[in-house]
Amino acid sequence: MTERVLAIKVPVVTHERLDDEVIAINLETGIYYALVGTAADIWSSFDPASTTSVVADQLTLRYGANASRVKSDVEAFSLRLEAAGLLICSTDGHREGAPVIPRLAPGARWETPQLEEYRDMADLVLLDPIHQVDETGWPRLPEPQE
Amino acid sequence: MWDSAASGIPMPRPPWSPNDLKPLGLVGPYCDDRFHTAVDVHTASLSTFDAAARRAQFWLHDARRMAYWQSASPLRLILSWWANSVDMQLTHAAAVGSAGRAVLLVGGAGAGKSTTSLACLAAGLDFFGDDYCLVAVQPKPRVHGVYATAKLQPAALAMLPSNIGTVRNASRLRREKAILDLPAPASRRLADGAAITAIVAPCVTGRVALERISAGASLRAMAPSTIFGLFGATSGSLRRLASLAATVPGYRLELGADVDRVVDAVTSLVRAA
Repeated sequence: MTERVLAIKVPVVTHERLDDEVIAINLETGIYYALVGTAADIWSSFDPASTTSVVADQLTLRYGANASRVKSDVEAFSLRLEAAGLLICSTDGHREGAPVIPRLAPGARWETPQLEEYRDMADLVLLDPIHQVDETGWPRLPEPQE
Repeated sequence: MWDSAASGIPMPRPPWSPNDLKPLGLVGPYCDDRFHTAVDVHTASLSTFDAAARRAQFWLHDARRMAYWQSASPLRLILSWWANSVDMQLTHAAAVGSAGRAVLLVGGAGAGKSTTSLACLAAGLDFFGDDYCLVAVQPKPRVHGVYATAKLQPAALAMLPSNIGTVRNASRLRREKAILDLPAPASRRLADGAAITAIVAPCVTGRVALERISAGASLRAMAPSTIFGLFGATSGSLRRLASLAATVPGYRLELGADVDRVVDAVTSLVRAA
């Protein structure tokens, strides 16, 4: 069976990497995420689209870590990213180019990746615009405050 | 720019289906690299912008019933889209400074941006905005003021001199933040802009303290409220903010009741670098 190719769910997800930290913002859910260290490296490895096997092999080499542990961590973490709507199964297959990952900091070791989740903006998207318009198709005028 | 109540001109039915509205209010089929269209259900208004023709349209039902926050910073989406078209970024931040240098105060609602920036204005610093400022990253980070207003919790008015500005909505402070129209000297500082020397993420802890934070933490303090407040902004917005965070040092400023120490901390960052 062909292994699934996973990709970052753009443009729904907007993301940037600074040093060893990634911020990923899901514009549909209002939830944003911080990924640091190994989590950031896994994220960057799926840009462009890739498979968990390829990502695990690359990161095993990068960290000089135990291959089975890295593979297990990458698989579990990518499932979590998919569940959060950050990664999707790519229909395009592998894309051109290689991941852009900064040089590993001296002494950095493989650690189980963590996904830090922030929901303080989620209220902004909980209002459903589809159900906030009237029969003319325009938003209902807010009721007077007095 | 018009409202139906004053002009008597009703809005025709939109050419899109309600299902075309994205979660933040963008109208999917009418948004691409050139055209931007958003229906704001919070304020019952429509904003459009054609980046190639540099034409914008803004409509709302009734300007007399405009949300108070919208009247304090009107046309925010349109200004944001225009800024992106000239490689600048409308940013959810306050900014204060002196002698052509300024710090950005960033963070979500309640972080302390308005009170801190107005305390700095009262202490004689230049004021570029308390909520949204225009930021250019290239060739060097620079901030420009956009609005000559400030919004803050009514209780915070007591911490500021009474002559700092005129409260526009004094009769409605039980349910609205106070909107301050700032006097002419502050307004004149809006246009010139200043070099950004620091990004500061304030947070209320009860004691005044300043510490360096990583570029990633700086971006995390600045980007989400900017992006979501601008309906997702545009595809280059997060990149611009990341570039700013990578270029300018970031700090966490703990806020306490000693306003003078807060102003001193901000002033030290304006003068640093």
